[in-house]
Amino acid sequence: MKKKIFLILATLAPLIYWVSHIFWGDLGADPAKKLNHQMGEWGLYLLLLNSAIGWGLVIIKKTFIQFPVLRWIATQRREIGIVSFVYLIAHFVFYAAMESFEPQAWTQLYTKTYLILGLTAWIILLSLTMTSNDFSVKKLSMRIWKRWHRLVYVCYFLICAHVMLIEKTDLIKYGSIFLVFFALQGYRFVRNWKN
Amino acid sequence: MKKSITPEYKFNQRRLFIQHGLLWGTLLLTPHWLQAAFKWPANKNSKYPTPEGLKITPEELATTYNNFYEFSLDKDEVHTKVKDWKIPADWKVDISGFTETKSKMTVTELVDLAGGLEERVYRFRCVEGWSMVVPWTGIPLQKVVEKLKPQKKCTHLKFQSFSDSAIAKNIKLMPQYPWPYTEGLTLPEAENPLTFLAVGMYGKPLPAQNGAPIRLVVPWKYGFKSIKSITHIQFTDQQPQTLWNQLAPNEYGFYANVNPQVDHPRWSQASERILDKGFIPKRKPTLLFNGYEKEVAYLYKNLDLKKNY
Repeated sequence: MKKKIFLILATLAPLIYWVSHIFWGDLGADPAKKLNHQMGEWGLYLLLLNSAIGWGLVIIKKTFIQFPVLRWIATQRREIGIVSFVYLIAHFVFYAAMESFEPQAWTQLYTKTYLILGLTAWIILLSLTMTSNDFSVKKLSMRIWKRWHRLVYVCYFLICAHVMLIEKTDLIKYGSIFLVFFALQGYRFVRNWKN
Repeated sequence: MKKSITPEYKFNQRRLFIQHGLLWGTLLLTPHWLQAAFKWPANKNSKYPTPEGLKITPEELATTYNNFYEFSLDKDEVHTKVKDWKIPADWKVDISGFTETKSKMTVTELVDLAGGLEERVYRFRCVEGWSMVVPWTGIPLQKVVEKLKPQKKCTHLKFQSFSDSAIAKNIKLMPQYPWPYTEGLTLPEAENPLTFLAVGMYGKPLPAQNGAPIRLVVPWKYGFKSIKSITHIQFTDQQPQTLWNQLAPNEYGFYANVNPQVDHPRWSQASERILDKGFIPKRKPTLLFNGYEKEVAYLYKNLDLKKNY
């Protein structure tokens, strides 16, 4: 239990760090936008952490399971997923703040492509978060639950398009993140196919 | 108990420390030759006061939130990356092309040519969707163009930015950008009384991050048209290539007039965040030509603004 609390605090640390800056007032000239960006970015990193655990379990299984910490973390993927969605809730809240909570914040959601993509991913991830508990796994059966949670890969495509459409500058950084992701995931997919 | 009382001499040393800090700070951060070259602050031009219903953006925001990709992609960081840039007092603007007066001119020569400095408050709208209100000190480009006498062939002006990658290190890190930064105006746009060459803001010489020692300010166009740290002005007979237009022609047109009806292909331009110190920014609807319709609409009478964005 102590380990779990530590994990949750550690994964929430960037959120606590950035949100506390609201009170220090040193977020620059466009604070809501900065937080919106940071929350989206860290939410994505946590999703990637979960996928990385997946790769560890499949691609380098023998080395991976030698370490008790990693073995334990591999049992905490639902928790990490839930925390990543906490970031995406903050991402959404700071988006609305950036738009001053005015009507266009909502109308844009279904008129601007990058927001339609983002919102779709957000809703899918909401459904994954809602079912990230023992009750849902039992109710759905492990087989269906697993299939349902593979929707996260659809989200990766949506998020990739969402990011590439709104980024004006850091296309190379995000481009390479997604490239590495799709390469590793592709490798995993091909391996599974062969087996 | 005694220890907590600061002795008087130490108290005075602190004042000295602060005074020295301020002195060195200003000397290091501003090109002081510009400070010495002109009388600051310049006379206010009453034709261009603070726009009604708006406030002048706090100086510390306007000088710490800058797009200057040659130094950094992070707007909050640019002002820390220009610290080592000593802007030379013999900075020259190379004037070439179809003009009667080809020459290399110093900033002081350009200001003298226009007949001295004045201060104007302009709205500033970035293509990214934020806006500021800035008091600029400078000269109308119109007066410079008039004195330089464009030849009949001349239809456009091409501007080029400082591009020394030994100082502006981000240039090397972003080889996919067609450096140097270039921008352009049509000759009638350059001759519009609003078009301004700024050498200062907030009654002081321009800080490096804001485009020292001399930059363009075209208030009815998106901010990227207002090229910083100008080294070349070329009078040309064709529409110049511009950096952003080369990078993404479908997103950044040559005209780049502020227009709430013409969205950026990826995001809306209907309204803007007015940058201020608050956490939740105030928004206002964006105005056609950034509110300068009366002054500039004649330039685009026969132009389809949707096609010529």
